[in-house]
Amino acid sequence: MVMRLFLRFAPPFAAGVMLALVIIGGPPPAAARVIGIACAIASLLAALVVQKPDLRAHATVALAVAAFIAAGQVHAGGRYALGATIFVGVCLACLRAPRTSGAPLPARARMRASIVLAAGSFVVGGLLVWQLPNAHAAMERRIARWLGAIDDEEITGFASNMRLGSTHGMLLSDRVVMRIEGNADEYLRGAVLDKYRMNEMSWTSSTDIPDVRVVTPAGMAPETATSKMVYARSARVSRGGEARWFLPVGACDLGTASGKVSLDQAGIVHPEPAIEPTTIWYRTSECARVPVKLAPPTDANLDVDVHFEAEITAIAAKWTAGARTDREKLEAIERELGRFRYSLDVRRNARIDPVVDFLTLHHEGHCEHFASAMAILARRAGIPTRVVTGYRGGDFNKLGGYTVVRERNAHAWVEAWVDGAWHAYDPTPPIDGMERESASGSAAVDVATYAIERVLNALSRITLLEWGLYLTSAVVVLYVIREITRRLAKRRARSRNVFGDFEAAHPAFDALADQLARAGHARRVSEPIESFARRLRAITAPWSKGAAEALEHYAALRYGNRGEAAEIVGELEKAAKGINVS
Amino acid sequence: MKIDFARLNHVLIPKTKEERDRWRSSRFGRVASRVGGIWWSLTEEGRMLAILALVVGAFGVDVRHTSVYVLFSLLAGIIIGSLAASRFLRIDHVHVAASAPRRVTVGEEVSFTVACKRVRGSDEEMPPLRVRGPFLPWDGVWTDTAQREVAPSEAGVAKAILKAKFVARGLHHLDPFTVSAVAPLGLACGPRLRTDATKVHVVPRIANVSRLPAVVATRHQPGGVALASKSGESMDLFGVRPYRPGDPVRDLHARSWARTGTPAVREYQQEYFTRVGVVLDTDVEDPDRLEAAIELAAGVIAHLSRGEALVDVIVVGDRVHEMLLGRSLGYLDQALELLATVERGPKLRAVDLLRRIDAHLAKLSTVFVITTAHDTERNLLVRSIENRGAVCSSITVDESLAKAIRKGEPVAW
Repeated sequence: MVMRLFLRFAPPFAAGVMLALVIIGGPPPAAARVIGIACAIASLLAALVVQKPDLRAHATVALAVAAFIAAGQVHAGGRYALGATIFVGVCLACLRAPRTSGAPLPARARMRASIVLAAGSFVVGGLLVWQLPNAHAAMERRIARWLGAIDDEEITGFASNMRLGSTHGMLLSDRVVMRIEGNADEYLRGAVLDKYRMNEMSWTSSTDIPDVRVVTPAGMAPETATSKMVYARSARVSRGGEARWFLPVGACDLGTASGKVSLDQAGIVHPEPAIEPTTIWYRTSECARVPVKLAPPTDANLDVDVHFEAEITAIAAKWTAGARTDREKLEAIERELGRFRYSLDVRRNARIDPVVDFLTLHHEGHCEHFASAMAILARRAGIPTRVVTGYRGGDFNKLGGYTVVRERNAHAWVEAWVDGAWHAYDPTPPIDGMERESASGSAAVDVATYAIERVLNALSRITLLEWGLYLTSAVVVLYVIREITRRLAKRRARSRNVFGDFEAAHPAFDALADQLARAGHARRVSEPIESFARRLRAITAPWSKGAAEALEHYAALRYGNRGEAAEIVGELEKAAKGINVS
Repeated sequence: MKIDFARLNHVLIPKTKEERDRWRSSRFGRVASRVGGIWWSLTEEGRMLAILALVVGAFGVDVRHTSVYVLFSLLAGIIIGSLAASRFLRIDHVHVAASAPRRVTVGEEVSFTVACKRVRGSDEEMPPLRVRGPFLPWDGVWTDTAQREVAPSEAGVAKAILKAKFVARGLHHLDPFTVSAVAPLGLACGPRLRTDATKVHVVPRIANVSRLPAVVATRHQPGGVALASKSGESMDLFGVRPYRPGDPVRDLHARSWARTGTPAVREYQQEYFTRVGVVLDTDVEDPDRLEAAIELAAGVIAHLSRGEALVDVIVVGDRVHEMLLGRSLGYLDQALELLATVERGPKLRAVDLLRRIDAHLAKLSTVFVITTAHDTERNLLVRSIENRGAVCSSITVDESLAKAIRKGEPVAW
């Protein structure tokens, strides 16, 4: 009775508790709160009022689920997951109560089904919880691309031009871009952008000064490298002329499978245009060859858009007042920007330039906004600057001993020309989750994924001719294995039963034959059962007639399918028992 | 014009089992049944939860700002896990059979019994089973939707009774009942066992006819149906008359002979049922009126079956049905099954109809004509029947009579 009452009221109660916890913790929107409370009350009323048990259970659960949905309209984290698990259990019990007969499944079936159910639920549920955010981000990007809001280059965020805020999709994505074995530097440069116009950053130096592409000879052997960077197969990297490697400043002794890479004047490493970038290895210290020196600044590194020059100049003057050296000025700007808020949900006034908006109105944005703002402000303070995009940090995979760089590690920072060299400045405030260790579960999955990718990469290097050769060899080997197995099986069967595929004799017949043999009347080799029976009939023994009849009946059943099997087996057993062996 | 929304709701669903089977064996049907197989593998609770999971999924689309997707993931995981687990719950060692009454009256509850028992020789334990009725078209509904699972007895026998109601007449050829074991948590069913298909005649309600006009035509009309196995050997005593040479000696009546002094013999007569015809006019637009007319026809036949009359011919619309049952008294069942399938007929044409029933009229004592209106054609029909020597009782089902019949009030003439 108590259990029945509990099951009746448990769903609204569980939903109500969850709703209360969420409201206390981080209140959901007002509408969700009202709807949630209304649904929880309605669920309670349904549990009280509805008389038909089946209908009551369904109504109660449906309304409780509605209340639970309302409670989930905020990012409630682990407590929601825990609450949802309990809630689902309670709902299941409530729905099941009116139907169950109470009798359990047979033990074996129950065990098997329970294991499959538990494993299936855990795997599917876990996968969905784990992958839905990624799938959502991917879908969002796909829809945006389909609607024409972004294009492929903007998704990667690392081309020779970039719209401000275009890395937003990447910052929400857990897609693996690359894995770095060995030393992993924090900042990996991928693109340098020196011009800002109308919400778009671009690389212009290449047009002013001829691009210096240095083709290196075959680099050092991979074994002597301190780091090895492998693009993940899932990575969406730029192709052709825009293809690039993401390497730290000062990476040297580069080596690739083709043996050739080129560096542009900004120090960005590009593969040969026709070659798809997969793996590169390099050193960051004790270089055998001196890394290419980065080109000095040009006029573009001091350029500020005239449309907002006035506002920027005022802010720059205000922030750098009192700073005497370039370093001090940069530090002052960095300090001021440190008071701004990092946010992925950027609010913007569409009529104002995003950088001005960031600096004057909303004071929130992500790395691109911080870097662009600092670069422009520093230029107004007379310091040549440029924005560098790439990746920062990554998750260290303990199991694999490598660093996994994901799309969410995409980052933008500033390089300023100070004291005759480019120095990196990162005005973005510290971000949660930028540097962390992979969780054990995801680390294990990634190790497996990486192993598969390595195999696939190796396979992708195989030529068509080699493929043909391997496939033919595989077919031949399989054929040989099959033939051998078949022959062995045949031989085994032959040794087991001289009559080929005939069924073995019934154990009761064997028992009788053994008993007869012990009594001195063994069946001769190849003697038909009927002949054996006739021979037994001629013996003057009290059991001979019974045994002979049993054998005849058995022969009729075995070769003519006549008679009842159970009866004949009984007859054989009886005959065997009746034989006096002494 | 009255619109039957219940029927309209099922306009795309094939009405008969043959049509449904044809659809199922079509390419589209095969694909649909595979896809739908997942849905049918879920129990009622599972389906409820699956629908809720979809709703939750729709509200949890924004995974970045809400946590609802966690609930969706859990629900989806449990449903998929249950579906996977249910595949391991085969019940090949169980034999199932369904039984149902042959006939049921419109609107009355009919019970189907599904018996499950362990196959002889099997020593496997029988799990608790969930019995599910077949899909019912628009005119049928399962009245006890919340069927509990049935637990087997120690002897390995389980029995479930499912109740349904049918609101339209006709032969209902139902798809098989299914029986399956239920996965832990009760969201999915294992592979299903099916019973044979069952048939139920849903017959019209029988109007409460308390009195009919006396059947006054010749009681012993020629060609009557003899009750005796041999003509002249019936045991219906007609009287006693003086002996005539050639009379069987065993018929001599000793007491009369003693009293009168002259030999007298018992005289017997053959027994006959009076033969009656029923004409049902189906040329009516209003379905309620047609239904009332059919119920009245059933009532008239039932009333006649309680007396000595034998309904020989039933004319429905423009079709003549001979109820040639010999001496069997089962014609009421046959008539009800016939009336179960009556639909609105073609326009009544007295001349055509008379031509069809002309051959039967000579053998009938009385003809009951149940019409739905007064008009020249119907009057002509009644007059023509009377002109051919049969007594014709015409009953017109007007609105008030229809109401009385549908309410089950007694009607009399």
